Amino acid sequence: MVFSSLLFVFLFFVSNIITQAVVTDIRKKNIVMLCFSLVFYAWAGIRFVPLLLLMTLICWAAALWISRCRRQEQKKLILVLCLVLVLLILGIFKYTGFFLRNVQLLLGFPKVIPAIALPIGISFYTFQLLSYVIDVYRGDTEVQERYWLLLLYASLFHQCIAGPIVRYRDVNQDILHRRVKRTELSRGITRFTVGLAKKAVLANGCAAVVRDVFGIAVDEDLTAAIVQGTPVTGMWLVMLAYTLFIYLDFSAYSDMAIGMGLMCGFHYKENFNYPYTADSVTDFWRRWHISLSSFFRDYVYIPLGGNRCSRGRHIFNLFVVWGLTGMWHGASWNYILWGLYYFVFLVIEKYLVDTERIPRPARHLLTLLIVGFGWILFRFDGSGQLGPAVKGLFGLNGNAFGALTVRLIFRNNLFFLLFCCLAATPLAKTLGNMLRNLSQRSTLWLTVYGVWDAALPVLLLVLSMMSLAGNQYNPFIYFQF
Amino acid sequence: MRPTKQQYQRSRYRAIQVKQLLFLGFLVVMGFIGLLWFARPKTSTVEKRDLAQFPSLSLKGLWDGSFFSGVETWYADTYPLREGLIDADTKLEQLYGIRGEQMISNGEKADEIPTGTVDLAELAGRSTTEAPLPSDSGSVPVASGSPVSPVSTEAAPPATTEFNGQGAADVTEDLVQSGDIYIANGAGYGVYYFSESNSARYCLLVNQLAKNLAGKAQIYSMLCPISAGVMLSDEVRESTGASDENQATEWFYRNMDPSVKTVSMFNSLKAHNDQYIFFRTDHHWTALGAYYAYQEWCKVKGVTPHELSQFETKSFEGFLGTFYSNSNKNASLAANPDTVTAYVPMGTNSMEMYVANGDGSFTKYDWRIVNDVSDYAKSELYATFAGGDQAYNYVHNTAVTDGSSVLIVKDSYGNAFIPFLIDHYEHIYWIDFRNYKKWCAWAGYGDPSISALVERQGIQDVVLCHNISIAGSSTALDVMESIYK
Repeated sequence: MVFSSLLFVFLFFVSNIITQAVVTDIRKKNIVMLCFSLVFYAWAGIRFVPLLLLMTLICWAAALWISRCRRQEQKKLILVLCLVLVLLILGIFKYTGFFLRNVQLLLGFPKVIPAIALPIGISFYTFQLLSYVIDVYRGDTEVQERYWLLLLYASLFHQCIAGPIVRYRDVNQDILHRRVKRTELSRGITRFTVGLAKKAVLANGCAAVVRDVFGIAVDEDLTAAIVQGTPVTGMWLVMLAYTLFIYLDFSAYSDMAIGMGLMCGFHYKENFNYPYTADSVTDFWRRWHISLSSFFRDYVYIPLGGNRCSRGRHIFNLFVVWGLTGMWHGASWNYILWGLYYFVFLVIEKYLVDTERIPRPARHLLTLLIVGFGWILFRFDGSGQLGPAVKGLFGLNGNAFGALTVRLIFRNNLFFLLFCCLAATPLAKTLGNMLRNLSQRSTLWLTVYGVWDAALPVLLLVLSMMSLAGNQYNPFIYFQF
Repeated sequence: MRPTKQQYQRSRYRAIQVKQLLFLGFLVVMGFIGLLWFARPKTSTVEKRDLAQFPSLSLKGLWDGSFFSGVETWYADTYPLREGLIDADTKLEQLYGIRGEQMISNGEKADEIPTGTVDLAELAGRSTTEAPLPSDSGSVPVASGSPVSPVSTEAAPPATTEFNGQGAADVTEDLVQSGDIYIANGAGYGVYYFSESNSARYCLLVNQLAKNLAGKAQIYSMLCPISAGVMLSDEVRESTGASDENQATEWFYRNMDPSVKTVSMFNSLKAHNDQYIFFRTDHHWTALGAYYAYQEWCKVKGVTPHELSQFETKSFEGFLGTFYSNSNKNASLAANPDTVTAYVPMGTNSMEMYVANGDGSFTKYDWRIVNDVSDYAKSELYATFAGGDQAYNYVHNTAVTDGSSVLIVKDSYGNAFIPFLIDHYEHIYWIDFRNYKKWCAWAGYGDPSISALVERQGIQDVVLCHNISIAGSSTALDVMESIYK
């Protein structure tokens, strides 16, 4: 089930908030929440549920064991065993096909590559569980004695399949003693509906622009030949629309998760901080998918020595982190390439170019271009699409520069794309804050603010319903993560 | 006036209460509407398709999730307020940009049109770059308001009053295409892309038919241009990436067997492109467009065409055809609905036709060649011509008594053309290539070939009337293969 579907909003979610409000006892609340989460997870196929239960079991047992050990070496051994086991399972499900395909290319065997279905959300919940075990080992969080409560943490439907990666220590208190505050409920309502509309109207609209440029139908797959035949301006329009799409889409899932969390007493950290306002690549990664980059920072980069080491070692540390970041996004060379692409720019910013000396607007534009080009690496996979896509941007496919189709798609969506660009900036937030400040100064503005704040969620729900009904294209791209 | 802290808090408290009530109330009401299973629609008149059905429960479906995704699709697809929501969304999307000019493309690309002679067999074997045809193409109509095939096979009285004439043409959806559409100045234009390999395949099929019919019947090939090539200037047409339809037609005709009489109509239509010869909101030509083609056919056949003024006319207003539905209801098209004018044959307006019941069986109806469609859905008005796209049709024109006969093998472009041909023959047969094979299977004719039909009915002339896109569509050619023999 995806958040941006009528069934989720009008049946699943509405039943969930009603039951959460009706049940007052925290234990029962958690049982109900777990049931909802397991149903939500099983929606992608019951076959994926046993693995989730197993991974949680391994991490629950390992953490419990660690907490009961006295000796540090023993704790470490259990931690390492747990990490190896969990990462091995992740590797088998996520990377076997990729690994064997490459072996086959190099050595000619194996002849048959087993098709292993990727369990939905595996990368998200695995990382959550790992952070829990490591935090218990480090003494950063208390151990959870009850298996089903840890399962609730891992499977919580708010963030299980599309993030953010929530740390156990951040929600431990919420699991045990959450209470919904009126103001938080109100904020949650706004946040959820903003996220829903952002996904249903804006992100899906941007995805439709990409599809239109390639001229493919909703149920049709993109092929290398189609990419090859796309004119130069078409590829640039694809880059623009996809850059907008992936931010609006991904951050919308985080918005919805944060909003749903607030509505029932969970507090998740922000996952995006207007990444397209960044003025350097380093800055971009402080603002993009924060829960993932801080995971790698805390559990890989710093243990490796971070930047408090020799230059060579630091560069190596960055290389490892960005190689892994790329791999985390999917089992395909283009994701690894995408991760290492950022490694290169981060090293350049760190050691070669003082970005502060570039005028800010130019710096910003440059960052956007780097990020936008990065999304081309991210979007077009290794099945022969990446080469033509990159070449296409620079007119190396022998196509015309422009085409009527591209010009018209751009004109037909001009205002929409402009609106999406604005939606990627803090403009709306600033306007909201201004309105709130005004409301403290005059009763008239107080009324305006009250009406606006109360009406906005319903308005956004109506807009989302319209888009979800009218637009058959509702991509969910996080299956591969 | 600046609110006091107390006033502020009280006001915020109230506003938040209202906000919660509104939000939850809205979700509950919409959720409740979603539970009204009896209010869920089965078909969409806007999109002309059957909506998703509730998936059947199976262990496999539960295990791999296909059951659940089916439920999700069914829930959204048949949500009771869906049509209204889609309408509202369409209006909203008109604000996304400047939408007067639009290109609805399936990513198809044109091949160069070769000038010299070619080896057809070699070309036909070559793989094609053609993109799949759009599946939501439009003229597999869903009857609005009443069931699609109202007559059961058992009690099958040819009661013309019961069949509403809309829909029921059981043709493969992929084969009813409007293809790529260019929209400008309130009109849509069908864009044609020449495909070398597919076009070669078509010529091979025609030539094979010519061989089989040698000495038995005379073949006429009519390749009907579609609108972009005729209505747009060459410059604009080229900017859409469309091929030159005149050159393409010449290529086809050059590669057909010399025994096939070819009807060139492009120049005549082009010369009349200041007239209403193509619909603005639909991919078909108008009867007037078909009339100019008919004049050219008369020249080739060596007969005198009838004057338009000789015919009685019928007009139906407010037509919004396939361009309109396939462009997601483009507003500039909605503002320029078409009028369908039909010319009633002089000899007779009565025909027999066989309508597919959807289960492989057919029902015979007495019908009208030009039918009154004033109470049809506004998207269905082209169905006034020749019964729409029915598999097998026959007219006995008693005003002509020379025993002459003709078979028209056609797609929907033929429909507007057929009424003009009626007055030239005593026996007029036409088949729609898309479902004729099914009809043969039902009627007990093992051989669905054109030559078998020609022999059976002693037909003298065979007119192959197709729009030029169909003659280059691999999906269409796959179907033609079994009957062009």
